[in-house]
Amino acid sequence: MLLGMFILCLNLPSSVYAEDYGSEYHEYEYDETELYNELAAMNPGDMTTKVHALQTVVITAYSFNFTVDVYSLLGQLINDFTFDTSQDVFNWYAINFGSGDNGDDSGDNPEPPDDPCAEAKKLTAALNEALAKQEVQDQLNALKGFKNSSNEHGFIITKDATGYHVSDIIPGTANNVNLPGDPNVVFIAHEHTLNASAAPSSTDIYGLGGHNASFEGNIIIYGDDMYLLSVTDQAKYDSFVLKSNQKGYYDKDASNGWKKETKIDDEFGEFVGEFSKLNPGSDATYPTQQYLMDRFNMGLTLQKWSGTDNAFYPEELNVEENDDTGSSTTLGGGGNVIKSKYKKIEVNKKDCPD
Amino acid sequence: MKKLIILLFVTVSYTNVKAQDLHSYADTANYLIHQIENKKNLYVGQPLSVLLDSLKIDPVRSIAGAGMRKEDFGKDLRLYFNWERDFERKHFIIIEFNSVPEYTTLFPVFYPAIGQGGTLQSILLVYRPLIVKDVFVKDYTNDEPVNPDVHY
Repeated sequence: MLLGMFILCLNLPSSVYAEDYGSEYHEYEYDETELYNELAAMNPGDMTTKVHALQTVVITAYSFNFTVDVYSLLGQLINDFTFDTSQDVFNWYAINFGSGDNGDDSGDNPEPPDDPCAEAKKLTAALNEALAKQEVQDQLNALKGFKNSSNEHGFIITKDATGYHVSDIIPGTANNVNLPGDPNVVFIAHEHTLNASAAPSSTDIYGLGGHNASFEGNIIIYGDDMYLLSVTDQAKYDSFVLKSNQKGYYDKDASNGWKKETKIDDEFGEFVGEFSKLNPGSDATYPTQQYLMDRFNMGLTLQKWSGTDNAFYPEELNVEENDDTGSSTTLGGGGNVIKSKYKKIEVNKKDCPD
Repeated sequence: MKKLIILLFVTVSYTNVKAQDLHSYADTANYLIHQIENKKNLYVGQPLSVLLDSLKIDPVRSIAGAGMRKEDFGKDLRLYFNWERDFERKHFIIIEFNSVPEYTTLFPVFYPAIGQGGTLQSILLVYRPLIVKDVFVKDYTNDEPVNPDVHY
């Protein structure tokens, strides 16, 4: 009964093991015993700790290509777990996870990062520190040399006690590149082909998970431009990944990386439509992925590199909504159309004070 | 433990009440799931017109599917059966095609002028003869409870 209620509260999918999420960048082999030992080492006895432990398992399952049966682990954890029946399970879940009902994960009022400029400065310093080593600079320049390639390429930058190091440049396919996992990784760098978009893919987003604290982000080269996708709010990112798994949003084989029929895919299509209506011919994918990052409170920030002052600046999505939206009207040519939700959609560089 | 049993009972009861209150919505959802998606074999390999002519409810708008590349534009077509903006209240199906006209042909059909969307009729005129590759229906499993007094 207790196990049943616990699973009901979490609303976990029937299986989260052996998933391949994020494996584009990771080839670690975690075994079940190792993971269980990690969880068991956490402070036992209270429900919050155990569920956080379980949440960690689920999130980790996204990022590492390992096989683990979450229900088996849960069963083992429950054995040494004392449930306080004075607690209201649903209130407890709401307090700890924000909704308690596994409800809408998209925010009508997405919360911006606390200080995107401060984050940009931190990341600028981190990359410039790495670029101070000639080997890193050379490898990044070599990667830029593939900007006209029809396949993606990439490498990783690591840091240990002896300083920064780079992997070889690894060729991929038209849509992705498999890069080696490394506990010392600081940056992942890869390029997007010119017939795609500068926008981070869903795989780029999921690939941000499962790294050590030293990890700064995912560099994307597109033409002559350089971007950096990074996690700026770990709790929000973890929450998004968890809920995304529950709702089955990720589909690396889908043309936009989001599973058809789901809410996030529907919002992708709607926003592409709104943007294309206002900006015909422009790349709609870039602002749309940025919109989804905000809309679904992913805890991410996208920065663009300025070669003029060797610094990252946050990219901001600026939208103006129409006052009267959502109703239908009739065009002169006949037929109903839905009114545009927006009258302006732009992506701008955020001005940051020196 | 007693409290847990009560909570479980309340949860089960709530689920039953929700199903009854969403009668009209559930009917549409069931129709799209069982009569369209589950019988997709009737439509796959046929021109879209076969599916359109068999629909018991009329689509009210459509948007083009899009991906990470321009060449993905319009490879699938989304047909909406109401004007709702909230995902939890929408009814839609997604139709994939074996091949579609090029981006430069399709884009002006969906967006003929700045700030203007193409009409449903003009869009369907292009897609009616195209051969259906697959049919999907919206994922209803994550719908939120809605106002039972609203029927759509």
